Amino acid sequence: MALSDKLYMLRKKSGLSQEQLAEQLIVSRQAISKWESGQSVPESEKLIAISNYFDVSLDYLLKDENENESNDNAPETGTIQNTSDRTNWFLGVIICVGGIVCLILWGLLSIFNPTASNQLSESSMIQIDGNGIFLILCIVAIVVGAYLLLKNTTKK
Amino acid sequence: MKKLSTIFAVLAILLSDVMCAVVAYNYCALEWGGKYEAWSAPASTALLLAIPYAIGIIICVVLAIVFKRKYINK
Repeated sequence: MALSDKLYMLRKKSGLSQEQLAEQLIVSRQAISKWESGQSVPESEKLIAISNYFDVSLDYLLKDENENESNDNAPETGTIQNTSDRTNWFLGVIICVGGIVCLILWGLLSIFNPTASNQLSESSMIQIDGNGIFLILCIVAIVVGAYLLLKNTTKK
Repeated sequence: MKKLSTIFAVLAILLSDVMCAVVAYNYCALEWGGKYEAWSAPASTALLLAIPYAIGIIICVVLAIVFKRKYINK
């Protein structure tokens, strides 16, 4: 809440008109009107007088509550965001490198041990054979990993 | 960043090596099968195996370039 809104609220709570408050603070009615509309800000002496009159602290009058709350939460949210980004980044590296390593291993396996490759093909019940499914999974892992990596690298 | 860039560059080279080996091996196997075992698939079918490797190589090269640029810009 801004100072102007606080002044208006305090005056209304006290049941005073702008003229009455102006008399109490020894200022013109126009000055009160300008403070409440946010066109001007009271001088430090008048601020002290306002805080004494309404029995509120200067901190309450000058500090924006929403701003304070958001500032208090900012470091925590930032830490969570950073931790989440780092986790996603590591996940991206692991998935991407894992997919590439699996692709290399499958290639070597199909050359040096074709029986194992055939067993993988026979283990599948659907039309695309086991090797095909394995290759697709490798590619999906590489793409997902690369996406996570690039997304979280640009944020860093 | 530099390490990651190197890792992905090495992986891209490894993938290209394995791709050549796998395609060549399967091409020979299919050609032999077509001649002596009456396999119906043409030998060129083996080239399909290059697709997943090509995708992997492209992604590795892109990641290696991105990380290298990030390292240089730091």
